[in-house]
Amino acid sequence: MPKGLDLPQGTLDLLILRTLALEPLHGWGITFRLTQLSQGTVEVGHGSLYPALHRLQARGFLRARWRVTDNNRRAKYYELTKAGQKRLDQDADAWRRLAAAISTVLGEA
Amino acid sequence: MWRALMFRLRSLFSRQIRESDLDAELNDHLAQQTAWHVAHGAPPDLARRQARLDLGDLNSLKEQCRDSWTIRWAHDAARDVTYALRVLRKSPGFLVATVVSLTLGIGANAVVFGILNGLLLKPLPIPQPDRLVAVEGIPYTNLSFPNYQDLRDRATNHIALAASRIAPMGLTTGDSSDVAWGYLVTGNYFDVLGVAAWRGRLFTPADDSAIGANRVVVLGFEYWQNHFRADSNIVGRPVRINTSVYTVVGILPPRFYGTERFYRAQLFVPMSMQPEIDGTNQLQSRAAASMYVVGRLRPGVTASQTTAALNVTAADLARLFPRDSAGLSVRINRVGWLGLGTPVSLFARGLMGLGVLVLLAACANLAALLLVRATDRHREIGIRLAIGADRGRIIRQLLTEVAVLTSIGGTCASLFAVAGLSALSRWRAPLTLPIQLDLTADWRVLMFAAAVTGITAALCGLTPSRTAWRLDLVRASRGAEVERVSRRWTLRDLLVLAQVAICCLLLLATAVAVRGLSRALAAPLGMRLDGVDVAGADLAFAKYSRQSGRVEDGRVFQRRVLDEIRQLPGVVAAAYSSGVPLNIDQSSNSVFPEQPADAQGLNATLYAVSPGYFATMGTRLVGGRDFSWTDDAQAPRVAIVNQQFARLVLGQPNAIGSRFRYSRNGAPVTVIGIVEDGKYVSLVEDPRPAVFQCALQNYYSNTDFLVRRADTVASVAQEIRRIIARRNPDVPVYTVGAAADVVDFAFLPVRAATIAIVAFGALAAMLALTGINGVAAYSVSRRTREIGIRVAIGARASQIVRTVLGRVIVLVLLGTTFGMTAGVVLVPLLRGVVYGSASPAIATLATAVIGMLIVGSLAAWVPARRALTIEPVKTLRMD
Repeated sequence: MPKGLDLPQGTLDLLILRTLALEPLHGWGITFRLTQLSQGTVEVGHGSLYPALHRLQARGFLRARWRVTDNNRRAKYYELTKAGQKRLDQDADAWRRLAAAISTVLGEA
Repeated sequence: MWRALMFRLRSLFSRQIRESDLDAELNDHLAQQTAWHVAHGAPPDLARRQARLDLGDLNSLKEQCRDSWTIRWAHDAARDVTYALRVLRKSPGFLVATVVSLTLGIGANAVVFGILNGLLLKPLPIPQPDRLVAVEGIPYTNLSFPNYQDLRDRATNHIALAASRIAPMGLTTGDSSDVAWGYLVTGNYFDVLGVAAWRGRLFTPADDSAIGANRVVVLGFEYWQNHFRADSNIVGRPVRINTSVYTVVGILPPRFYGTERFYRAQLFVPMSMQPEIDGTNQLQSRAAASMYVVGRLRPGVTASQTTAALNVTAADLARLFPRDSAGLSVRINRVGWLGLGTPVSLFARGLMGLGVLVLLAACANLAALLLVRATDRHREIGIRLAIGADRGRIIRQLLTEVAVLTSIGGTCASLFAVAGLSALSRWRAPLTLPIQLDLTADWRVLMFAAAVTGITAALCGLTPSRTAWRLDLVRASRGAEVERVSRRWTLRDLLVLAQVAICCLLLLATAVAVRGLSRALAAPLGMRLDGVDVAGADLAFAKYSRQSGRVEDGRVFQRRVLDEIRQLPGVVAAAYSSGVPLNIDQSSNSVFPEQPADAQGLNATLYAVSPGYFATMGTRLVGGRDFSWTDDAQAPRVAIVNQQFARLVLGQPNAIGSRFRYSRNGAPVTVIGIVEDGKYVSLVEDPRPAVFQCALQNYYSNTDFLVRRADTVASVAQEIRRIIARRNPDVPVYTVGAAADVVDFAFLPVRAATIAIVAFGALAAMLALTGINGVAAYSVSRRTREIGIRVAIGARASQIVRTVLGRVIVLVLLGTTFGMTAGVVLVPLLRGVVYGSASPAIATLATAVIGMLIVGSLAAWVPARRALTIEPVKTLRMD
């Protein structure tokens, strides 16, 4: 497992929502896809992924169901709910503005 | 949001399913991660190990997942409650002691609050009751009708005023007449209250048009149901009231009885009919303060603005009519107590004060018991802390236990209060006046009980938490805490001290009250009522009144009835009077000695009695003579006075032949006889002057026929009723029975206060008993081993008792001292309700102290016995 950046507090949820916006995935698939999408920069601790998934599900942003995978095993797939999509839009927007602000500050410093 | 809630709820109930679900999910993850490592060239067993390492601590991971499933605290709380119940079930003694303490403490307070609520707080069933006020005159609560009219007309911007007057009426149906209790009300009364008719119409200002011109009546709902069998055709039909024909114009809605909290009016007649109903005209004299005035504040106007505006008018009236209205001013008071608001609220507050004392005692008791228990559990808590429990978690557990206990106690207390209050509400005063209070528990009482329970829980929960917080782990797990005997005073000691002091204070109050009651019951009444029967009637109902110009007919009627009563077998003496001492309606008048001419007037209770009254009532004639039938309207005006009157008004004990007046310039009246002092208005009164006029010279339509019969004869009260009905069926008889029962009401305040105080005293004693017992028992059980050793090396019984109970004895003695000191200061406050409480006598103090010591000894007895029966060998084998 390649060593990457630690995630800032609270961004894991955003990344999970973003990943699931493309297609429903199971837990392991999410870590794999995240690493892929960030080209190995972001490393998600496997231990923190599942509590986050359960938390998001409890808050109604995700829905889970058991499905048969491509290689014929049963796995728990997570998908975005309507509320989750909305949350993703809000958080992504907020993040972009924050990131822009931070880079402006850093650029001027 | 809905889905989120469902998810949490589902997981609360289907924990098993979710657990296996989580396991499956994590296993799947491990399998995939292992496959990934294998695909990157790791050997399978190493790959599996690496996959586990990637995931981290599986248990804490699962715990974090679980956290998000459920409403965590609810889950913990449910577990805490279950655990608390299990722990409590294991110590039933503790459970019973605490629940009983709480039930008594909170229940007593809820009952008292229910009384306060019923007397003062519950709004009257009238729209916007908070804007309705009573306008009371000073110094007399009531206002005269002309003054009311002027106040009403000049304060219209601030307040809409209406006047009413309680009046009994004789309602004749067929050939029998009954007393109906009603109101005379001004035409705008119902408008001001905002009450609408249930059937027909209510009064309008047109019903005030001219005196005696509006013979209409409105019926109360309950009276209509009971007396007219809910006949809905009654509206528009005639009924006979005081021999005149009135038309029923409307029926009031259910549960409306007028503006008094204790009086349930049955019918309403326009104020313009007052002279006919009462038999005296109260509408035209500015001096006759006889109207009870209520008003509704205009929107946006405050009570103080209104008082100021009304007093401007009152000052004008006082200036314009100095003879009748000198010094007139008014104040605004709460509606519902006819000017009795102050004593009633004092009574209620006094009760509340006692209630709070009992509650404090109960709290102290509970806190001490919990403290003992927390100390007992040092070891358990120590072990739990040692194996890694969070202190916060343990404190939450202890608090849950307290919450469970107080909830059980609070629930029992609420049930107790609801039952007690509904029993009190059913009680009906043994009076002709329909006095009834609505004390039933409503949501306010339940809220109050809940709030008190919450406060108790918070107060009592602090002590065990504090113990857990400060617990020294090492010593607790060794059980060392347990053996330490502190010389210092602990919180526990102070709690017991407080409890003993409170208990002692209440015991003192109890002793004073009981002594007062027994003295009040034994106090000379100035009459001997055994074997005396009474039948009371108001002749004005049959128009034998000054107003109707039939005074002479009334006198003849009284005399004829009396003559007939005298013929009854077994009658020893008979008489009639305008009233019976200690009955609820006492009238008084100013009296002035003849000399000096500018002497201050004094207030004296007034009766008009027929010859033979004193013999009938068993009142001793100290000097002079009784009235005779020749002391009639043509003879010189005479009176008989009591000894206090002779001393105070006439200035000499033997005042026969002295003269006095009923007003400064009135005709002089000669004293022809002096009788012993008695009680006239209340049992707790100081001796007061009383004057007995001759009924032949002063006519009152209110007539109580009194009979003293031989011991061998049964009550003749019903015979008297028949005689009166035969003579004139329009005269309703409303007081019938033994004279002793009629004056029984006078004993009510003293009885009520005494019962309340005794109940609280008993509660406090019980609480102190359990409290002291708990602490003494604790002390013995903690020191069992020490006692065993002492016994083994030859300690004597007295030494053992001193060792174990020394602290308890000191606490009881100190607490008694504090309680007594407080009592000597506070008990005089009971004066006014309790007879002779001005300063408690030595004997009373001694009674309370002895009572407290008995409670203390009883409480310490069982633990002391246990200490004495400890077998050294067994104790040494302990642990």
